Amino acid sequence: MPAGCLNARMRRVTDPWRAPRARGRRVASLGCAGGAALLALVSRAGHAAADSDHAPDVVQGTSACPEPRAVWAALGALVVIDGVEPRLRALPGGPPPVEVTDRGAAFRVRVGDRTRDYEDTARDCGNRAKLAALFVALAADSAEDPLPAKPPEAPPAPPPPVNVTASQPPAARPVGRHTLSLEVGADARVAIGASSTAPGALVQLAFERGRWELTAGARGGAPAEATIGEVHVRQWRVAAQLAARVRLGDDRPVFPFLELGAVAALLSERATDLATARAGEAGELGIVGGGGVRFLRRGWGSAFVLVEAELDPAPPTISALPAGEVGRTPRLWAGAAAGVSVGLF
Amino acid sequence: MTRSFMCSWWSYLLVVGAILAVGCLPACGGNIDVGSDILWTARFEDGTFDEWTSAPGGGAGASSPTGRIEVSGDHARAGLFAAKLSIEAPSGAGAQSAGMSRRGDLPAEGYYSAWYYLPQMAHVGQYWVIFKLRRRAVVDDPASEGELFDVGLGNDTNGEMNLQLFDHRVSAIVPMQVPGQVVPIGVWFQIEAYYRNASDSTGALVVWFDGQPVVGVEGTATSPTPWVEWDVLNLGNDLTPTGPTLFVDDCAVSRRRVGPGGRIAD
Repeated sequence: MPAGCLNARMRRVTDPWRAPRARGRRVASLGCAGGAALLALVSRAGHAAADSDHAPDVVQGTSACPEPRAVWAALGALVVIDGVEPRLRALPGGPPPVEVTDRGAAFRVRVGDRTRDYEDTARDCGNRAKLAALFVALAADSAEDPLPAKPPEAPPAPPPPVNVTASQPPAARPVGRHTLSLEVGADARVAIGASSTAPGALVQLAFERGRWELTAGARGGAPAEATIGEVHVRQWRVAAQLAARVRLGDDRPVFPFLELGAVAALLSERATDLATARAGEAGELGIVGGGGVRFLRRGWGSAFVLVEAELDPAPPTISALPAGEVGRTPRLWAGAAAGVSVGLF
Repeated sequence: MTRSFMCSWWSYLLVVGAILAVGCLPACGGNIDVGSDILWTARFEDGTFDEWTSAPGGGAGASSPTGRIEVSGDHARAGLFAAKLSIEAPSGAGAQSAGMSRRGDLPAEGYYSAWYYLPQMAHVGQYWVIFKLRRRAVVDDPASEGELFDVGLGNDTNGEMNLQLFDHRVSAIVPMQVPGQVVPIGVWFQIEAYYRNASDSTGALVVWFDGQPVVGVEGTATSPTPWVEWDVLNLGNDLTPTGPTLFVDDCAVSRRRVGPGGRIAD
């Protein structure tokens, strides 16, 4: 939609309200579907205006900002009120055909069975009335003509369908959502079967497409004591991870996600109680799966908590003389991480 | 469109995953050697007794006129060579000895392992010792040395060779926990001992024969000083035939038990 079009969110409406003809020209020049519909209405409107001091029961509601009669008056500036009023009364969902509700930093307009919410923290009642009137006019224009009680003298041609009135406003990207995010956090991994817990840190990028994310990053653990077989070792581990993540409940303040991927790790082991101690490294390749939640969503990003498990089908063996092979490094690692996800783009 | 997106999404994922896998596979699932609890070994594979003689307090040789040592390829447990210890010990000739020793500089607590090969059976008239631990009353005084434990060979009622432990502190043979243990002829067998040197009641000696504990002395003072001597030897008196030969291989001192399946070298 071109930038000059009225957006469903009022905070994006920057153009001052204009006279119907001037407005019609502007909207038409922008080529918006909604503008075209409005042009069609205005072209048939003439200068018949509603009596702003005598709002009929067509527009009702307890709203103080905008007041129903201000909406009615603004509607009269847009369209021929005598032609629109029957259409509004014929809409399903009433009575009343139009209802305006003040919700503080927002307001709601219901036309028949269509409802639209607008945000307006500034509470500009005049602009609210004009925006509500525009929605009413567009909704009325998309409605079918009611069967006339008597043959009209000059029935107007049916207006072209206006798509914009039939669809909800495009959803803006929720707060705390970004295409590319940097996740950093503290991490802790437990080597199942090796009596080892290692604190660490993780850093990864999350690339978002719809409900899906691709995460790629690395994490490392501080050296930690472990027991493999009967040998006590000091081990550290760094891992690179690539995972697909799917978000559940996207638009809630706290939403969970699941992920599954592959992990490649470098593991270093050094004996701590042998007569001659050596350090060695070996690689691991496994799968990682887990889940977590994001919360505290802000403009810069959000916080997250993640719980994961890694499975390495063929972990390295540990050997020491004189026993030879004393065991394998852990096949299963469990971990948890917590940190922040900072939006980059 | 959604399907197309999903396909490209998973394609990227598979490509990156494959790269990771290919890069990691050569290093994955390998072995990490973290060290050793072997303190010292003698495998004779260099054809000399240097492993013994170059060690602190180490030595090799004969302490009697008939004794002879050499590195031989006649029999070897692992590798190509073993030590061949020969003596002539007829009746009336007294003790004849040949072998290797480590004197001092041994751990207060450790495992002592050696493999033996007997080419033929012998009749033991007096004694035939193949594994010995000694002690000193005063660390710096060689004159204060004394015998401690002897692991030797004897004959049972059937004439078979069997193992014996002689405790010099009480001048008696220690009863075997597993009686009837037959020492094989023409087959390598292992004798391993755990020895804890202590002047109080925490001292101990446990002997394994081919991995099986057969005799032990525990909860006893073994030596007044930390000084320990270990001998792997062919020490005989009144043997028939008079010149039995003994082969020895893969000797080790370690902090963990080697056992029959253990490795003392990479």
